[in-house]
Amino acid sequence: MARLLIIEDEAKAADYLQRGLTENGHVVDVARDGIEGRHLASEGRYELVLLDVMLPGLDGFEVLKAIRARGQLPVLMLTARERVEDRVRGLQDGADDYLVKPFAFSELLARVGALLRRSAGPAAGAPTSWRLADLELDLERRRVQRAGKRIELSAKEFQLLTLLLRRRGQILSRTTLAEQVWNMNFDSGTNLVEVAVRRLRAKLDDPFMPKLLHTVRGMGYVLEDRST
Amino acid sequence: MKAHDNASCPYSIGRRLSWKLAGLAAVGLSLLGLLVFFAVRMQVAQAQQHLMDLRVQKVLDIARKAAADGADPAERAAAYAMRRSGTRLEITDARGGLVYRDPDQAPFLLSPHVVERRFEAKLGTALAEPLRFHLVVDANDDAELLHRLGLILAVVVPVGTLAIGMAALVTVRRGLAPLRELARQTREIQPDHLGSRLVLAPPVEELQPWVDQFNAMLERLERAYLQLENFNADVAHELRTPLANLIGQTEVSLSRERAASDMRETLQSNLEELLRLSTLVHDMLFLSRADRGVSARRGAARSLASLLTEVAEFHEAALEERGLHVRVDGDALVAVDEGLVKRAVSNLLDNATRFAEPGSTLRIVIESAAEPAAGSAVRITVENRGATIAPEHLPRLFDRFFRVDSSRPDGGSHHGLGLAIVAAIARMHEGRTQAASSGGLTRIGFELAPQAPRTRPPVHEPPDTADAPGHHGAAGAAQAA
Repeated sequence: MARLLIIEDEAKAADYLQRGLTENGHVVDVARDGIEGRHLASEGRYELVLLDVMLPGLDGFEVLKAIRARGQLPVLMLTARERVEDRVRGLQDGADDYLVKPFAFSELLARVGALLRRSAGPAAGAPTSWRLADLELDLERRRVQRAGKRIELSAKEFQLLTLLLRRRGQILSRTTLAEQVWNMNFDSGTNLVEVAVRRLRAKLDDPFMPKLLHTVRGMGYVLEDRST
Repeated sequence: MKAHDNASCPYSIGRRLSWKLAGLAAVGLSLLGLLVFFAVRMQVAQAQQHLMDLRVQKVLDIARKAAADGADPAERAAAYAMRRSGTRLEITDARGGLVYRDPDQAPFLLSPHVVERRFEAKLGTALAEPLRFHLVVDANDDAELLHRLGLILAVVVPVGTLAIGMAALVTVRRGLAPLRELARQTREIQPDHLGSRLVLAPPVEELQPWVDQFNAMLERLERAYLQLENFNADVAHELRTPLANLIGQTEVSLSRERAASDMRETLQSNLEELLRLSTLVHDMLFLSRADRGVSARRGAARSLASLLTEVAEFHEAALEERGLHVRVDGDALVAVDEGLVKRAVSNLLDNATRFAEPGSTLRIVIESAAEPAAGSAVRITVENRGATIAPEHLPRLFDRFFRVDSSRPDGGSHHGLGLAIVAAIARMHEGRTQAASSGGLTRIGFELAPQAPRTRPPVHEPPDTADAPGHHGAAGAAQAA
């Protein structure tokens, strides 16, 4: 999908990030310190940089400055610190997003995807209706049908389904759903998402076959047709 | 703790008081000395005048007697001269002619300090012309008396001042002894003797309020310290269960050859446990950040009702499952950290949901202490119908890991930091928590100060600390109060 650069000195973290991102279709290179990272990032071969803040040689903020001095390469900062000042500083210095360790890999994947889509520019003529198997969603008329039968959804359930459809095939974590559907940027209360998904599933999947809304244990939910 | 030696303090109560007392003594004694001196001088002058009156009378008596006897006044005056030692008499007639004058020799030579009086008198028959008398009395003794008095006072005043100053120094030092005693007792308070308190025997009226406050502070610190110790134990306990699961499951899976699907099952289960741990760590770091005094980052003022309606919508599904309803009452326009306030209210709703009677309606109440006037505190309360919480539990509701009833069936699904986080968020907005429960109605909430005071310096955090609300991807087990 895309060429990514990971600048991370901690071997274990760098390895699992590389493995995970490669398995998700990206081409991934790793730099083990700030100086190497700055050098690789300046070659202009990458579409996104994952940048750890605490690095030997040259810290993440310095690398970020060097990258910004050259252009608009998207940067996702990773850190074990979440001082607000750090986050503000990172974003002010031009980081595109910020993720605090420990984070769920699915979360990282979602953010990488979002950044890549953002830098690819807005998709021309965003669709106003979606179709998956026998499920149809019409955004303009706010109607959902399955197998020709109308399904009544609450406003939030409709938003939830829209998001799942728009990102169908991708695992969306509870945190992502809470953030995107309910505008809740905190992590407690993710069981509330579970309940909401359960209720959506009762209307969407229970009376029909095949099942479309799947739970990926420990990671989140994905909407896809697995019957084919 | 750095001990200050006396020299490094520019201000000393003891020295100041001693100098002030010495100064006051100097002024007081000087005034007293002057008063004594002038009073004595006045008395002396009066005595001199009185004496003069007597002498004048005597002179006149003698002169009249002489006139009556037909004797020459000058001769009579001379005859009596020796009986007037220390005086000089001069008699002239009306035209200024000298009638009599004491000779210019001892004992008629007088010192420079004299008292004199001129008077005239008609002697004998009415036709005789008046004689003029000039009587001078030596006042040397009196002058010397005053001189000596002056000298004595000039010595007594500085010596007295010095003596009072020294006495003041000693007295003040002794008076301040309780302070040194308090310093000594304070020095002995150590983390392993947290129970010790300051005691002044006998109590000192001026110091007792301070001692009481200090002891009250120790009390609070001791409680906080114990709470911290318990907190550590609780944290360890909370960590133990997921860790035990992780270790056990991993060991069992690895002990045999297993199908990939079984391994997958184990890893998924492990992931769930790990996410629980991650959430716990994030929440604890959030609390520690609040403990360090980090304050909220407030945005622009906005309607709390619309903000909290979002939170209510977030809970909608879970509430409906329990047959509960939620309503937002009231509104206020206030600048808050929206993410934090939403989190706090979400935690309160979680808590209320667990304790609410099925079928009842939860209320999120927004009140400003005084009507919309900017600058008044705003109170956000979540109210539910349900079992009344015992009054002794109310103040502890916001303690970390506190559970009213640890045997609740859903006790395992939340880690007991929810309301502690509410309290932390209130503190980050310079507010505080409130809880009341009676007659089956429980109201738990918090107050928000309308705007952060500007006077507080920003808190600088040590660079090695991590922590965590907001963006981090851990989705996990159910978290609530």
